[in-house]
Amino acid sequence: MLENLQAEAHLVGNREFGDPLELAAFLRRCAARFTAASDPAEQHRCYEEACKEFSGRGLRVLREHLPERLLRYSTSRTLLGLLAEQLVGEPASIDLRLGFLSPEKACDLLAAAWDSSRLSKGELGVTPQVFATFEHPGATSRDDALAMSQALALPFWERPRTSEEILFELAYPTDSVDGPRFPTVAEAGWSSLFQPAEELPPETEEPRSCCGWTRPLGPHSAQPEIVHDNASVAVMSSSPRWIGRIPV
Amino acid sequence: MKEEAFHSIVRADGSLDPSCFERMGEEWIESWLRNHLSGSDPYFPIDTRTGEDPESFVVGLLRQAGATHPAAASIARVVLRLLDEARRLAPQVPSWLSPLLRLCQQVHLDLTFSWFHEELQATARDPEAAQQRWADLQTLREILVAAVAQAPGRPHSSPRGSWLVLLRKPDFCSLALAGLGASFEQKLPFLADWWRSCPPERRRRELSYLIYRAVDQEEPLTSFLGKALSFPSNLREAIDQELHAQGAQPFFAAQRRSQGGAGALVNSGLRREFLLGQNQRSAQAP
Repeated sequence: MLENLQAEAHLVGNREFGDPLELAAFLRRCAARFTAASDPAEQHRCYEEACKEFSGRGLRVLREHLPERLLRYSTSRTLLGLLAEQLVGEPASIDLRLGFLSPEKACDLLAAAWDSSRLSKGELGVTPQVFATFEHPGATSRDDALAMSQALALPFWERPRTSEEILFELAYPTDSVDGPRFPTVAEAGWSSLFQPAEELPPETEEPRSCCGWTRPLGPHSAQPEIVHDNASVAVMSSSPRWIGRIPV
Repeated sequence: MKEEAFHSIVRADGSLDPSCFERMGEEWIESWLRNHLSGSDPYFPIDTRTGEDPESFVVGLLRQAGATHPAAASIARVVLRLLDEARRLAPQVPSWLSPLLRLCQQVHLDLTFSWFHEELQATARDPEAAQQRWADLQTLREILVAAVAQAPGRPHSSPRGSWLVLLRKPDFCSLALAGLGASFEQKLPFLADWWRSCPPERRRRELSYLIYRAVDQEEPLTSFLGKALSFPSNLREAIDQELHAQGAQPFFAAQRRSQGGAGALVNSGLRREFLLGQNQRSAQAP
């Protein structure tokens, strides 16, 4: 995490690339909060509070640097349950929560009943800014849960595993969400698997400079990543696509 | 006072040894669970990037440990303490309550039976008061979904009466149907009451799912539906339409055909081939 803080170059708020003021303010905020923290748990809380405050302040990503469609990978059974409740009905949502209906089959039922105009509850993610990626040449297979979760360096790889991890994909038009920005250490929070974007000014000719890129685990290729404002699930252009369970 | 640092014990296969929780004591577990379910955990960070449900890791841990593991028993006792605390705090809703209830929806915890049974009884007695006590209908519904897992209405069980009362309330009838049985066979005796209580704009979609699940689970629907001939006619028609839509043989129409055909043969003396053809044509008519 210290390396990530040292490498962070895109935490600039609404200023130009290269402006250090926002990062300095973030570090000062961390230092001020840490002074009062007496134990590791308290230090963690202080850091996360500072991160929350500085989320969504990465350099703006230009619309022309993004494709027409964004993808987001989710592990949330709660989100599937909320979608099922609205489109398939309450008994399906209850069965999913109780484990009588598998998330795989819930995705099938959602595909058959898909009508985003009937969705009034639920958001793409749980934080004010959410991570998204997109298709690009040489991308990791979108059908392989293990490979995709490692290509995205999802934080559950940092901890002992259980058999509960699943992965599904949400797709939506880029123009349906606001505020695309470079992800920064503030969005990464306590996760050390995050990789800050290279210290390069965004240039259209150099795709690697136009958004963040993950530091993949294993042999997989890096995925592009941005953050944008959270939005209603009604922006989704298709039903959630089941990818798979992550083997323990 | 300084909080004791937690040291996780990871097995060779990468899974967590639950005994490391047991070693920390229940006070530490309570503080950890409260923070983890609220979304903050330095030891087992929650993946906000993928919108991870905070309870997911704990569900995995409990399933992996098994109900008899001492660590699982400690966590169950802490869960009950937090439920009691939530009851004291109501109508305030602490940030950990929703994930805690979702945890109780996914893992059976014997110790919580009384708590959920009491909430179920209170809701059956006065749903509006229960809703007010928990601030909103959403929290109350989360409690009742967890009650389906922890205090189901099996035959001769004490929660059954409360579920039967809720079966007649439009806001809770689908929850009650789930509380009274997991399979289609178990739900069948209550299906007609559910159909009458369920708001019309919801019931076809919900029935469609119930039939889908029964077909998917390969339940012997034909033998079950033989016990449902007294269902209201619109429910019988709806079941047939759903069976047809899902590629199965409509049941009640076939019953009607065989009964009508046999009666006509006795009473009219018309040729059997003619009657069967006529019945088939009328069954196919829109």
